[in-house]
Amino acid sequence: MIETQEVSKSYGATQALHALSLTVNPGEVLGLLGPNGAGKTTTIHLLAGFLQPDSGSVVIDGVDVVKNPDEARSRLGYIPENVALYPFLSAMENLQHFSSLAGLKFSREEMAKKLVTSGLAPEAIHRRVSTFSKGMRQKVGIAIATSKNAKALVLDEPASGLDPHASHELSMLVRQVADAGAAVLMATHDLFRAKESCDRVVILQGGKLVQEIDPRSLSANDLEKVYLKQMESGS
Amino acid sequence: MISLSLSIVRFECQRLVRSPMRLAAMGVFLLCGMYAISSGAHHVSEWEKTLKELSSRDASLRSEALGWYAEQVSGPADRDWIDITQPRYADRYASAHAVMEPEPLAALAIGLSDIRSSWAVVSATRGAQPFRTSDPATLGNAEKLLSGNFDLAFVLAYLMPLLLLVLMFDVGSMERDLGIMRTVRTQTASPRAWWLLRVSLPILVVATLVGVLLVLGGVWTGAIESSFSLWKTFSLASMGYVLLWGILFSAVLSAGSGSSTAALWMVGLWIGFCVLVPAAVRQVVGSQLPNQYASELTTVLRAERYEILLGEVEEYRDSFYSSRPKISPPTETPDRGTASNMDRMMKEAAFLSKVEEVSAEISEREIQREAAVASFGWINPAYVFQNSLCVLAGTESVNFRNHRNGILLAVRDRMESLIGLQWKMSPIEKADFESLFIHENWLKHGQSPQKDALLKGASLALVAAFFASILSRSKRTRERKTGIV
Repeated sequence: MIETQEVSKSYGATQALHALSLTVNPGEVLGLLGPNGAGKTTTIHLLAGFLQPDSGSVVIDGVDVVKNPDEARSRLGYIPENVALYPFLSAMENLQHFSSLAGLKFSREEMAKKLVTSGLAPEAIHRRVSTFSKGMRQKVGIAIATSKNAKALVLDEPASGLDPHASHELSMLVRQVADAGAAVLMATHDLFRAKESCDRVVILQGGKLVQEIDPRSLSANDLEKVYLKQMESGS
Repeated sequence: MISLSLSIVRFECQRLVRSPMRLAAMGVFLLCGMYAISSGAHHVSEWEKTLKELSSRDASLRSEALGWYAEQVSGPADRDWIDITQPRYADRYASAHAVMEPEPLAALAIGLSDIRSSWAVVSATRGAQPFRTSDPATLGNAEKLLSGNFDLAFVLAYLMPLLLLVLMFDVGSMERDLGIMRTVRTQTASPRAWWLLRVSLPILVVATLVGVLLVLGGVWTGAIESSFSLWKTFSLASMGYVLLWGILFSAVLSAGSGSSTAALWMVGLWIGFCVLVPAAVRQVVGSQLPNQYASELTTVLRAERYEILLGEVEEYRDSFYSSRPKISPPTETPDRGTASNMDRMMKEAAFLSKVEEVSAEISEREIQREAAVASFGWINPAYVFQNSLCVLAGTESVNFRNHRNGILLAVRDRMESLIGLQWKMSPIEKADFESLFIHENWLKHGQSPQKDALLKGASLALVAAFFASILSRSKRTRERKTGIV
């Protein structure tokens, strides 16, 4: 479970989050929508323990992130907007390295399978990632985060740089992770993917949760209309 | 923890193997070390060869003279002016040298030993020469004097930190530059353990390379066989120095900057501790207590010697007899040759006193200089370390000062013996001739490392570790406040 209670965070005079409360249950995918600067990335960084909240609590799988950030992070998978990898290692070596940092050990076959499942072409598995496109790096990042089998997964605009096919595969993968029992929080601008993979969607604006939507009750176009309307009323 | 360690070891191996710059740096470091060892071994071999030649020359002259005693002749048939029973010839043929043998580790830290004296003639009639360099060619070569010796101590003290810099500058900072740090943090159970392991491995790699050079040097020069305990201390001091630089660089990395900033800070530390501070200390101390070089002293003393020898003996007669109560002026008028020899001996004694006086002044000044340099030891780790290695190798200035004193003592003993024989005014017997050899002075030196040097190094490491901890803590607080990793 992912849980934030009345979390506030400011950067100097700028209030990034205002008493945000969110809960993502195991097996659920929560979409975090909002314009640039709405507080999506701040929320994710608070969940990952990169930031300390000014007030409120952040809990991952029952572990308080503020009090025990290392333990909380060990229960969390994280995919940043721009996945960065060691350029002198191949995709498989990157996966092997980051998995072993988490104390996981996979056979070469298992790692190859995970990379292919994440959408990476089999012929790219042994290539150094310095030659990879952004989308290819993103796929390796997804393989790294999901291979951890964490109880919670946070994704910061994971479809950024992915082609439509890969985006769809990512949605399916996120769904699979949630179905396996993980709580998933995904910040995204892609309303179509949000509709495709999320159980719930919340809209953040100016650091406040302004609306919660069940995307399954709406078509993608309707979801977009709701979103745009919310943006217009907020501005 | 074991799994994390293995993972990071594998990662570091991949990083090293796939980085031509790092491989080249390691190769160059090893080559420099091997060249330094070979250069040191060559120098020591020349040093030993010279001492062997001197010993052989001494033995040859003595045996020639002993042969005359056996044949009951006063000298060689073809040089009838030589009379071995006369003090001036006995002094020449009782040939002896005061020498300083190279210590077991000398080849690893030659220091400035090639421009200092490692041997001198022990003679009452040829003047004491404690400041005479063993290698006039080197002393006359200003370029060589300026550049100094490229020995293993230099490689370890000044080049090793550069290698460590090349291997360490992007540890953690590369992750920041590339934006990998957040992934690392969410993947690693203990980011602190990850960081400690990451900075430890380059230190371990450098320590291994230093170990390889130390073993190579120890085997090549025979240091391990000759004195394992000294070699072990030399090696431990070197490892301590690697650790000191590792902690200093870790403190830089703790600040959490990017790789270019970290590299600049590290280069700054290297320039500061290995170039600027030693040079500034030398300049400050040199301006307050200027050094007198051997060539200068030799020239001055040579002029003094000629002034004394060409002067009037009456000037020295009173002080000569007053300082030797057991000797009194001859009651009978000696023959012309004996009188001339006595006058010469009085002048030589006066000159020796002058050399002793100058040597004492120089020693005092050296001690003051060393104390002044040592007072900057807290901020001069490279010099302190290099000096400690030279102490272990027996090539530090204290050893040469002791050797210089040894030369003067040997010459003084020879002179007093010869004065006693001269004032007897009877031919020198074989037993008396042989007694002159005992003034040989084969000095051996080598001291335990200076405790204060080790203390200073350890203190600097502790200060660096303290700063590393403070920087690391403030970095973590800043990151969690701003989110900038």
